[in-house]
Order: sequence, then C-alpha cells, then structure tokens
Amino acid sequence: MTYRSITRYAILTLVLAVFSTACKQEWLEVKPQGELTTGNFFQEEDHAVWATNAVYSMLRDWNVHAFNYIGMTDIVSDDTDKGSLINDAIFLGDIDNFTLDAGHQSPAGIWNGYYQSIYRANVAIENIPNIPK
Amino acid sequence: MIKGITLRTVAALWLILAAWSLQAQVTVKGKVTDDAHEPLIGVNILVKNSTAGTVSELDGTFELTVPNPYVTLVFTYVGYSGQEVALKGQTAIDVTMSYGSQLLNEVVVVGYGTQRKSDVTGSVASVKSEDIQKIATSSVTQALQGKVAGVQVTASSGRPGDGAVVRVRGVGTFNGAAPIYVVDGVILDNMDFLNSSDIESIEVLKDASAAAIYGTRGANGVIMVTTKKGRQSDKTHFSLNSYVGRQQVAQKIDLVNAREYAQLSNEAAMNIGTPKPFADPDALGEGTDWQDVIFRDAMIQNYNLSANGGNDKILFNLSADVFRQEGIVRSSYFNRYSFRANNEYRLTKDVKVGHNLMYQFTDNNNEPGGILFTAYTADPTVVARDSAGNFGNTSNRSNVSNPAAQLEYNDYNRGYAQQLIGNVFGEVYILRNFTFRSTFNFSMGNSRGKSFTPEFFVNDKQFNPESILSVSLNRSRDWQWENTLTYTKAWDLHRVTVLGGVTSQARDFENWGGSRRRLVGDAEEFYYLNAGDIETQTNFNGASQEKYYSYLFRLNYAFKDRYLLTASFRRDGSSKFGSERRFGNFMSVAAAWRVIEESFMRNQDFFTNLKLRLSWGVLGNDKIPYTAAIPTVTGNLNAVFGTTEDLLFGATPTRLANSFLQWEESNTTDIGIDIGVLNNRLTLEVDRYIRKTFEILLPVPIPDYVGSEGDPYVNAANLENRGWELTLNWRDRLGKVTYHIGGIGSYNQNEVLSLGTGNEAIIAGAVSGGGFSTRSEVGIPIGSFYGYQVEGIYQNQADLDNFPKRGDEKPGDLRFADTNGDGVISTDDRVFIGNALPDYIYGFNAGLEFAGLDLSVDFNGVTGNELYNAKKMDRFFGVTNFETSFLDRWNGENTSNTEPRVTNGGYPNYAVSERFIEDGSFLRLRSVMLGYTLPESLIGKIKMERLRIYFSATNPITWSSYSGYSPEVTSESAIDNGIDRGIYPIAKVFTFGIQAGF
Repeated sequence: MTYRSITRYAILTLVLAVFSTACKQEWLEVKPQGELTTGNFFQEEDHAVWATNAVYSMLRDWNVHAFNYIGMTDIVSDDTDKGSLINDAIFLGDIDNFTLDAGHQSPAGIWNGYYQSIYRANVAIENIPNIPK
Repeated sequence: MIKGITLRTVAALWLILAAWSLQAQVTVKGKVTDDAHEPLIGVNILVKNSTAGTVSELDGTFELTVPNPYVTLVFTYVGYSGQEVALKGQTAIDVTMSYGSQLLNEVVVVGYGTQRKSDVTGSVASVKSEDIQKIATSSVTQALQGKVAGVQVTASSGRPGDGAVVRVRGVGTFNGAAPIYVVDGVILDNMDFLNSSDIESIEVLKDASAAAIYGTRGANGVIMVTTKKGRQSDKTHFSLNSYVGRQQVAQKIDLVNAREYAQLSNEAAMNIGTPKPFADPDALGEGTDWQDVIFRDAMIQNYNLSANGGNDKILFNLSADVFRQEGIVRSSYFNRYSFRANNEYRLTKDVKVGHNLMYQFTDNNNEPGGILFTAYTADPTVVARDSAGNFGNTSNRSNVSNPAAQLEYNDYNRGYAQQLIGNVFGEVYILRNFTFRSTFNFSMGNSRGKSFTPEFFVNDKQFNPESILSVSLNRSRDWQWENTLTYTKAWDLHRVTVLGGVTSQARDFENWGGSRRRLVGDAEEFYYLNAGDIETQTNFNGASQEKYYSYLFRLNYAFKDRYLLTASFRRDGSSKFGSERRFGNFMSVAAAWRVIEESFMRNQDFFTNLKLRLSWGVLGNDKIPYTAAIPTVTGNLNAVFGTTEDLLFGATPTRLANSFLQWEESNTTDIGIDIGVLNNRLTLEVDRYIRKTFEILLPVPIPDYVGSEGDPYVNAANLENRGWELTLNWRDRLGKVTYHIGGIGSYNQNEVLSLGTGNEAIIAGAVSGGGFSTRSEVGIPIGSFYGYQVEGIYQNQADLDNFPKRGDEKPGDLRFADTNGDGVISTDDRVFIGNALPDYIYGFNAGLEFAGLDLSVDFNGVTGNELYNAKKMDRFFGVTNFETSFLDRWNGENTSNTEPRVTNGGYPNYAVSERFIEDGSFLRLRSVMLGYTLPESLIGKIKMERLRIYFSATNPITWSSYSGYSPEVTSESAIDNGIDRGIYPIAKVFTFGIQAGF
C-alpha cells in the first residue's frame, strides 16, 4: 500500500463517518409558532380566566346566535317570516315552508354550537382545578 | 443557525479538499461527420461518468481536455445514433454518426444522478427545451400541457403569472395531490419562477422505481428540471431568445343583450308574481357589453440573453431574462426579471465545486376582486359611464357592482417579490470509483402586497366610506443539505452503481401585515400605513416551520447490459408527522429486460429497441394538513360581559389532535414496454399502472355531541388510480426534408376505496344558495358531481299530476327523475351526474424542417370529463344578467323540454342538477410555429452562428362545447374540482420572435 492509497482509504472512511451522524430526534420536534398548545396551557391564573371567557364567547358564535338560531326559534314558530329575496339564505326558506328534513343545516348547526359550548365548559371544569396556585 | 451540521462534517470536507493533488491532463481533438461526410454541428461530446464535455463546432471539429487518454467519450446528437468511443491512448479521433432516431444513449436525469435511457427500469418521460419554448406563457408548468403521457396539466387561470394544476397518473389523494419539482437538485413545490430559455431538459418520474428515491414526497410524481450548464469551447457562445406577442381573450361568454335581458326580466317577474321592471323592452338596443368593458388586447414580451462557455478549469452559463406580460383583463399585469449563473470550477483533477444560482424579482398587479363575476352578471341596460362621467347604476335590479367603476376604484392590488433559488455544491472523485457529492440547496425570498381603495361613491350599494390601505409581507426560507456517495464499478459482464446518502432540510415562513383607514391622501406616495388614522389600525403576524431528515439508498445493477435491476430505499423523518410516527420507510424494486440485446434478436433488423420493464414500490405524500397533529389552543375567543360591554380575551383548546398522524402511503405497480423499430425512427412506449393510496388524511366524523370543533384528522381513506399510457414518435427524412410526428395518450380510472370506519361520504363543492355539488363515496371517482337528474319539463298541469314531484313545482319547471321510484321527488333522488376527472388525456404534434424553414403544430385535449357551471346558478340578490342559453326557455306548453321557465332562484330550477353540468372535453390547437433559420453562409459574414426568426400562435383555436371562458376549470382540491365560479380567461397569443447565436 502506498502512502497515497492509505491517505485515500482514510479519507473514504472519514466520508463514511459523516453519514453515521445520527439524527437528533429533538431536531425534528418543531413547536408551533405564535400559538399555545395544550402542553403549555392551563399553567397560570390567566389561563383559567381565558378558558372561562372562551365558554361565554360561544354565545356570540354564528351557530348559536345568528341565522340558524333565528331559523330554529323565530321562523319555525312563525313569530317571523323569512323575507328578502328567494336566494338570500335559501335554507331558511325551507324552515319557513316546513320543507326541511333531518339533514337540514339549521338544527344541526345550533346543536353543534350548543355542544361545542358544553365541550369548552367541560375543558375548563376539568383543567382549571389543576392549575398550579 | 443550522443544526444537523456538525464540526466533524466540516472538518472531513476540508481534509478531502486538502488531500488531492493536480495531475497532468490531455487534450483530445477530432471531427464528427455524418454518413455523407457532412460535418455535424452541435454534437454533444461527454466524458463518460463525468460532466466534462463540449460541443462540436461549425466545421464538425471539437477539442476536449480529459483527465487521461483512456477515458470513454460519449457522442450524442438528436436524430442520430449515439456512440461511445473508448480512447486507447490516442488524442485524435474522427467519428461518423448515422441518422436514425436515437434515444438509447441519451442521458436522462433521475433522482440524485443520471442514467442512460437504456438503463432506466422505471417510467421516465423527457421533454425537450424547444418544446417548452413553443408556448408563450410565464409559466413553464403550463407549457408542459399535452407533452407527457399520463400527466394532466390544467392552467389554474389565465391571469398573468398564474401556474397550473398538475396531476401525474390521476388524483392520488384528497389533500395535496400535486407532484414535487426538483430543479437542479433543489426540491420545490413550484417551478413557475423558471425561464423557458434556461431549461436544458425536463424529466417526469412517474412510477415507484423512478420516484421512490424521494420517499415521503414521491407519491404524486416528481418533475425534474435541469437548467443549462457550461460546456468547454474555444469561444464563448452568446445566445439571444426573444419574442413579442399580442394576447386576446380566446372565447367570450355568450350573454344576452339589453333587449333580451329586459324581456327575460319581465318574464321572470311575471312568473314570480312581481311587477314588470321594463315597460318597453323592444325600445332597448344592444346595451352594454360588459365583457368588452373589462377585456383588452394585451402585450407579452420576453428577452433572454445568455453566455455559455468554458475551459478545462471553469465552465459557465450566465443568463439574464426580462419577461413582461399585460393581462387581458384591464389593470392586471406581471413582470419578471431574472439573473442566473450556473458555474463549475474544477479545482483539481478530482475535485470540483460549483453553483446554480438564480436571483429574480417580480412585480404584478391583480385585477379588481370579483370583476369577472360582475362583468358576467351586470345589467346590460345600464351604460358603463355617461357623458358627464358618472358610472351607471348596475345595482338597481341586483346587487352587482359596476365593473367600469371597479376598474376605476379597486384596481390597486400590487405585489412585489424577490427570491434566490439554487445551490452550491462540491464533488470529489475518490479511488476512481467513488464520487462524493455535497450540495447545499436553498430557496429563499420575500414578497410584499399592497392594496388600496379610495373613498368613493357610485350608488348606495357600491361605495366605500373611508379610504383603506392593506399591506402584507411574507418571508420564506428553505434550505436542504444533501450528501451522497456513489460507487460505480464495471467488471466482466456486470455493471453496478450504488448510491447512499443523508439529507436534512428546514423551511420556515413568516408573514406580517396590517391595515389602516382614512389615509391623508389618495395618491400612490401615501400608500404606507403611517398615512392612515392610527385608531383604525389592524395587524397580524404569524409563522410556521418544517424540518426533515432522511437517509437514502439505491442500487442499480446491469448484467450483460440486458438484465437490469434497481432497488431503492429511503427513510424520512419529518416534523409534520405526529410524535408517534416521526419516521417512515419507503422502497421500490424494479427490473427490466433489454430483449434487443439477446442473441435471438441479432439476426433481425426490424426491431432496434425492445425493453420490458416492471416496477413496484411504496412512496409517500406529506402534503397533509399537519397542524392536525398538534393540540393547539385557539385564542381570540372573546366574550362580552357587563353593562359596559367589555370585550374580554378568551382562549381554550377547541380541537382534538392526533399524535399518530402520518404521511399518506402509495403503492404503485407499473409494467411497461419500450419498442423501437426501423433504426429507431419509430418508437413506442406503453405503460400500465395501478396506484393505490392508503392512509389518506380525512376528518373522520365523530358524534357532534362530543363538541369538538371540526372532526379530528385520521389517516383513514384509500383511493385507487389505474390506467394506461402510450407515447409514439416517428421521425424520418425524405430527401432534404426532416419531419416528425408524435402522440401521447393516457387513460385513467379513479375510484375511492374507503373513507374510514363508517365510510361516511364527503360532501363538498359549495355553490350558491347553500347547496353542495360534489360527493365522494366508496366505489365512485373522487369529487364526483351529485344532484338531480333532469328528465324534462312539466309542460302543463296534467304533467304535474302524472309525474312524481316535490309539491311546489309549476308548469315550465324542471322535472327530475324519481330515481328511487318512491313516487315523490326528494333529496333521496339525487344521483351521481358527472365528474371533472377526464378519462382520456391526449396530445399529438407534427413538424418538419426543410431548407432552413421549420414548421410545427401541437394539439392536445381531454375527454370524458364534466364541468359544473356554478356561476349560472348564482342569481345574486336580484335579476342578474343571463347567458344566451336562457333564450331557449319554456314560455308556454311544448316550447322547450330542456330549458325551464325564467325564475330567479330556488327549487327546482336552481337546485344542484344536470342543468348546470356541461361537457368539459376539449381539443385545442395548442401551438403553431413557423420559423426560418438563415443560412450559415449569410450570417457567417456578420460573425453570427445562428439567426432564426419565427411566428407562432399559442392557443389559437379551442374546440369545446363548454359555454364558459375556457374548459380548463380546475382547483388544487380534489373534492372541489371542475366548478366554474368565475375564472380569469385563457388568452390566445400571436407572437413574433428572434433567436440569435453569436
């Protein structure tokens, strides 16, 4: 073996050594930028207030408060008629004329909204007691 | 900084560079001629297993510096049989090449390397740069339409600067079905930044064998682009590529005129029971053609200047490109300026470094938002602008803005961007058989947007009370560091190439923006947030990051040059996947048999190429909505309390996340045959493939009473694509005329196999009126249209009594089919009424060259697909304009059995039904080009190498029965595809160009 070929084999081994660099698992763990995760939530007093406010914010949610709500309370009881043009919120017309069926978006919408509110309340009830004092 | 690079690595690289010494090199000279002893100009001469090369000169001579006089030189020239000449110590050789379409020794670019076409075991298609350059467009992606069998390219829109939606072998998933683009090794999601003149070749890797080396990203195919590199030459070759053209809207929509609109409006009023809006429709004439108000003839131009050359130490290719395109919709335009430097520096005999860099700026303006829809719906009885300068009131009878006023007030929508894309690399040849390559790829840039609307008043429905300015800024950075070691050895009858490598990648994005109102002035110098009222300010700023780490391996083995085997493996880790599923493994195996090399094929001369290929592999798709893996907390869920009505900040986890979220997996099998006959003048490639995608991410419905917002994503669905591909080419010579004819065709069948437990159908494709037009179900192609079938029209009361109905129909209304036979029409009678995925995609081209003249034509088309004309359904708040198809409406017994009476919305005439389904098939004359290359005797006098002038047309004729601007209606979303809600039309372009070489 000449000096030159020894050097070359040595270099080759070094190159192969480069490939054995193990990937650090942590390098692939990326935290979401600009957002809290459940990992760092419910850690302080503010979080308790925020989680409770989030429950009440559902009262301002479209499903609980807007078209679907008006449809399933005022319109279905004939307290109001659906007005405007035919194509304006055409699904409310189905409620006015009692042509809605089980798949209609309005009853599904308000129940979705109510259960999401319950979900948020449950999340608060379960997690707030565990916040360190 | 960049994690993943250790001190060890850097030290190793330095050692390698330091350890090598220079050795003597040799210059080889010679001449290349054809069978008739005519010199061949521009023959590619490469040193085998290296990129050192040159090109033969005007007299057929060449000169090349090689490491030693025992290398093999590879001669390739389009249309001629390639040759390999092993030097045996001589430094002068003359080579004769024979005519005959020759694709065998052509080198194709495959992932992480190159291969001879004859050695390829997978399905790889090549597209030449000249074919891309025939299309006048800013988007190289759009130019691929109709060029590759199995690849469907649909322009996203005709807006200047927009690209295309590409599908390789059908739609593979519900999420992110686009292929990846690899430009000189840089993995990207988009290649529209490229200038067509800079491209050397494009390869499409279609099956597992070709694409598996890209592991978790290869499932939807890989499009590889190689840009032009420097070649050794005794003088620098300059080249100018330029064209100027005029664009016009290819096809306007047929809308009614003022008189017809008045008649139809009166009829609609009569049918609904409201007073007639027009006293005397016949007194009205043609009225305003709102499409003419917004369209214009627009200019497109492109200039590219490049310098290419090199010697035994340095190879260079530098280019500068200017592209400017006005849009056919007024106020829109797109400009792009780029600089490229692809250089290579041979530091020593065994070490070379280099870079492929491109720097680019673009600036553009978008047309006013929604103007294509307002021009389609605006009242034709209203004048655009009267003699006093007032804009007509188009909001009288419906809530539609005056498009001319929109062009005046809503036309400032600017974008500016700059980016740097490319790589820096080093290659070391070790021990004669090993090549170590390290490349640092990157793509980074930022883009800004600025949009201003002044205070204005057109009428009480079209006005803006305060001026408003919005600005935004995006920054993105993407770097990839790839290290590969390749071992090549040939002995006896065996040839082996082994590749191993490690790569890491990180991408991050950040965006900022804000808005303010009540700016101190309306002119452009005030378009900065500081000029607005601070009380009205809004802002946003967000970011995201992705990281990858992969190991790759590939083995290519050839025995007796006729039995070929390829195996590849890749292990990918990604930050996108759930913590339980960080790494995925992907692999493929392929074999090919070059029947032509067998002894029993020696005694015939009909076949000049015959190869069978078979491949199987598992690939991945990581274009998934990956935030679903992380349980984030949503903020700004604000509540209002107290008589003071205070708004208080709220936040809580609202979604269930899935830490088992992973990539989607695709199993592909491909069987193919490559045939060449008559000295390869006729070549044919046929492939049959089956592609099954598993673990497709879907929101799987959980009961609503759980209360989680949106369903959690689970890898649950399966989809299948199976089909055929065919590529046929004939090239020959008849005396002094060379000509070619070619065609591609493919057939694909898509089917949803599973949608997770319960197989609940996915409803999508929202249309006006709150309905949905698509439904994806097991056993049906993805994103199929779902609605009522139209059987005819209820002509009179007797029809209403005899045929099933819902109950509120009147004579003249559409009569739907009672598909479930229960005697009534209800939502249960809806069926599948079409699909936007074509059955067949095809293209054919022909060209000839004679005495310096060249002529070529290109056609492409699709068939078997439908489109949903959603904009026709939209009777937006009032009586909007009508397409001329409404003129055939029912207005008395038996006046029509297809077009219902004029009403303005509602069931049944505006329900989702076959009424709005149209045939989306088309055949398009994609390009025609006639050029003339001046003879060398003439231009040689002014020291030029080449001068060609040409005329060409892009999209001059499209044959289609679709009523809209263009049958190319598409979307990246597979479940919301083929729905026309108003698209920026495609233009036809006529250009004149000059190409010069000196």
